[in-house]
Amino acid sequence: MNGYVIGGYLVVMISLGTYAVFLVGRLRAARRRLTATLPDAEERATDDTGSFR
Amino acid sequence: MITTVSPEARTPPETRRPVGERALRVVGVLALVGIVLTIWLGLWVTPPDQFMGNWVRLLYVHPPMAWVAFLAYGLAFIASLAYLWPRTRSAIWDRLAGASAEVGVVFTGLTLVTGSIWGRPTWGTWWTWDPLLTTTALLFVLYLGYLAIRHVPGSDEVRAKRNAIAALVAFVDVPVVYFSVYLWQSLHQTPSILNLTTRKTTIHGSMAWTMLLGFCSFTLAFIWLVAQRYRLAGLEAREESHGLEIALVERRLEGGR
Repeated sequence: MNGYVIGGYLVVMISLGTYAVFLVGRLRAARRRLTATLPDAEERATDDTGSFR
Repeated sequence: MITTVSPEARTPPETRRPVGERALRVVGVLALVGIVLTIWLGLWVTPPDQFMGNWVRLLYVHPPMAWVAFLAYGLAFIASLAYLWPRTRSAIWDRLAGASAEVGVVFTGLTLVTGSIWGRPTWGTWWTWDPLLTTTALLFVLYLGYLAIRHVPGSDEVRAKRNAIAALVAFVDVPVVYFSVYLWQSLHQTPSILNLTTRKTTIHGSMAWTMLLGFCSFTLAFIWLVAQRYRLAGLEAREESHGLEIALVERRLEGGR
C-alpha cells in the first residue's frame, strides 16, 4: 500500500464523516430551538405539505 | 356539524414518524457497513492491477463519488422541473433540489480530490486541463453558484422559482462532463463499467464486485445525507416562518401601545 491510496481513502472518509456529523448537529440544534418555542414544530415541519405560508 | 378528518390527522404522529426514521436508520447503517466493506475489500482483499498496480485501489472510491454527484444533480434537476411544473408546484421540490445539490457539491469536490490524488502517480501531475477534469471543475463551480443563489433574498415563491431555473441551467454541464471522454481527446480513461464505445466492461472478478459495492454503499450514503439535509431545510423554513410570526406579533403589540 502507499501514501496516495491511503490518503485518497482518508480524504473521502474524513470529509463525508465531518459533513454527516455537521448535518446531524445542525438538525439537532434546529430541533432543540424549535421545540423550545413551539412544542409541535418538529412534527409540523416533518409533515410539511409543501405549501408556502 | 359535520367534521372531516384527513387520513394523516387520524394517524397519531407518534406512530407515523418512527417508520421513516427507522427506515432512514437502516439506510444509514447499511451505508456504513457497505463503506467499511468497500474499504476492506479495496485496500486488502482485491489484487493489484496488471497495469496500474496498487493505484487501482483508488478506483473503488473515485468513480462512485462521480456517480453520486451525477445522481444528486439528476435529482435536483427532476425536483426543479417538478417545482416549475404548475401541477406539481410545491416547496417540497425546492427543498429537495437544494438538499440534493448540496450533497452533490460535496461528492463533486471529493471526485476532484480523489481524481487528483490518482492522477499524481499515474499521470505525473495533480491537475491538467483535460476536458473531463475541466468540465467537472466547472460543474463544481456551477453548483456552488446555485447554492449561493439559494441564499439571495426574495419572497418564497420568487426564490424557489429562481432556484429551479438555476438548477436547470447548471444541469446542462452534466451530460457534457459524461460525454467529454467520448467527444474530445481525453487523458482520462473511459468508464470501466458500461463503456459506450466498446460496450464492454473492462473490470472483472473481485475488482468489479468491490467497485459495485462502492457504488451501492455511497448511493445509500447519499440517500441518508439528502434525507438529513432535507429535514434540516424543513426545520429551517419552519423556524423562519415562526420568527416572522413573532416579529408580526411584536409589531402589533407595538402598534397597540
